[in-house]
Amino acid sequence: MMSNVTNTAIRVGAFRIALALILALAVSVSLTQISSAEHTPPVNGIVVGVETDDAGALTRFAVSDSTGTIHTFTIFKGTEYGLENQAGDRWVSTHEAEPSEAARRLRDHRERFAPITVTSENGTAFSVVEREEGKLEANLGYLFAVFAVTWALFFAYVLYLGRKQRVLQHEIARLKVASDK
Amino acid sequence: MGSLSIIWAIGRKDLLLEIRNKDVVVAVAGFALLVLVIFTFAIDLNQDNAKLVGPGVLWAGIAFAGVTGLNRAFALEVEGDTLEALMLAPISRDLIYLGKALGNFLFIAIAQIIVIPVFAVLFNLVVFRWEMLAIVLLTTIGFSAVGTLFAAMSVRVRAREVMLPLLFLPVVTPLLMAAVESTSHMVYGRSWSDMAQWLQLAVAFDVAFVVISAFIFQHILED
Amino acid sequence: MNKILDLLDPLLILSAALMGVALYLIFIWVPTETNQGAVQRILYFHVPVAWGSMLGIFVVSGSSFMYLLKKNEKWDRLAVASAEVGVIFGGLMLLSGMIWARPVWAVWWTGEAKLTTALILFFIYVAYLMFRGYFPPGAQRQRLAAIIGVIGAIDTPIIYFAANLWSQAHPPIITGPAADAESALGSDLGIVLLVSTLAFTFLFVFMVQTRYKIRKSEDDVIELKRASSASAMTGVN
Repeated sequence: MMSNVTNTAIRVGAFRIALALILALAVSVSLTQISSAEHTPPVNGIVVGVETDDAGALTRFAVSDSTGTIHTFTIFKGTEYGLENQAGDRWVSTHEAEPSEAARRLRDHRERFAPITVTSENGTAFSVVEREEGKLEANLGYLFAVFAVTWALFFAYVLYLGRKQRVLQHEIARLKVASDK
Repeated sequence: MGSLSIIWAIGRKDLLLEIRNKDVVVAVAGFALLVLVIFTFAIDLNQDNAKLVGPGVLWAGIAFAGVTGLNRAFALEVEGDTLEALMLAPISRDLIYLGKALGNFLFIAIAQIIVIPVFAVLFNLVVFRWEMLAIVLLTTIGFSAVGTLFAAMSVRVRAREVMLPLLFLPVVTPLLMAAVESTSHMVYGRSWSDMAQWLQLAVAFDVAFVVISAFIFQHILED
Repeated sequence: MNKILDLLDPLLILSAALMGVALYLIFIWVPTETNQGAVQRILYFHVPVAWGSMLGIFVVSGSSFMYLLKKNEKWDRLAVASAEVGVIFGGLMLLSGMIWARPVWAVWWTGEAKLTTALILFFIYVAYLMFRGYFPPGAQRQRLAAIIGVIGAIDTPIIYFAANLWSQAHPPIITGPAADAESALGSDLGIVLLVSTLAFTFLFVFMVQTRYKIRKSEDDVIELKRASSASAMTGVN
């Protein structure tokens, strides 16, 4: 009988945890969408795709911004690059001068998840540079989500413990009465 | 009787039983084959895709099928109450464990003799190489070492069919990675030295779990 | 019976006070990191809960080992209490890591070594708790659960080595203030992490202690039941 009671308590507890999680995630997702609604041209994000021709020269690349939207850019002769390697050495060049080095650098950025900033017009990239300071999105929705999930989970666990304790107290009181008889 | 002959006696007993009713091997081979066949429908298999996903599908199939087989093997044991009888015998517990593990090793190995040729045909890959033999042996040793321990533990659990995979699969993940990665090296035609690290990992896993499980098994069967 | 969930427990008060300080440091005091922006502040939650889950695993495997050695029930209670709290911390570690990775790496999850190891360990300890849930109570359950606890500990380095061979991308684990020299934060980051980690550690200890006490009175109830049914039997005779 006792195990039935605790089982129900556990199930109710688990249900609450799930509910709290879903709520927190839903709120955070809707918040991030609101905060990203006013997006303007320079795209900040992570390189997710690099395409080259047979000679190894860069032809196209794709960047995913913080909302997960994929932007694809084509290259023209005048595309300017300003990209750093892991040690922080900056490489500045144009597409005309070093077309295959650009592909190598972007692939390196993709491997390292290093963010870049791209200015473009009609899908053609004009400049591809290391993500610049001061151009960060706040991404407060994500911060909020972590915070909400953390406290929702702790709170749910404490509720679960409290319920477990109440069940035990009833049980002990009942047994005491039974043994006194 | 020497230790080795005791282990062999227990393993052979299971094998003889298996030859008579073919329960476990059929379960393992059948399940693994079904996984392979379903994946040939689920994935568009061209030569590139087959090399890319083939090793993963093969070992995932064998791992899941192995769990089914282990469940079956110990269900038979419970039905016949033979584990209790074995415990009454004046044999040290680690030998009982090694005997049972040997039996399970043989079941899974026999099932793989059926499954791997079918895999080679369905995925159109060359797998009959010495490398494959090494991978199969190392993986099967590890599977049966961990599987025998956990199956013996789950015997008296209410939801045994659920509990065994939940315990078994996370623990064998490193071995599974080693199997998939070295098989993958093999189908791309790379040499032994490329997969050496993975094979070493598999050897380390096998040694660690055979020794520790044999040692720890006495705690399971004590009452 | 004295109250188990004691809100005036010094540990809880200490933890709450430190948590207040940590929140001030995280949201007001510490400057925004230049490469990642505000999301970097997730780190101040992620690292402490990750530390808590690691602590949980240590305590589970240590006390499981002690149980197998000494067969004393208090080790079993400690193991189950820290497994439960450790799984909560572990779940938070995975969730906060994923939410951080989405804006910074543009993916929720990658097959990187530390991530893979953390996920597999999380599954092992969830299985540990489920096993306890499915198994009838008694000495055998405690023994078998202890075995799972020990196996999980043995498997950890093997999983990490395998996952490491497999792939790498997680930022280096920060062990000291100077660990991340390129970041614009340096020692500020270290101070905030320290306070936040302390706050979560006290919370961890408090939760384990509470769970331990509940476990203890669960055992008492079973004992009482056995005693009362025994006395009922003698009454009939």
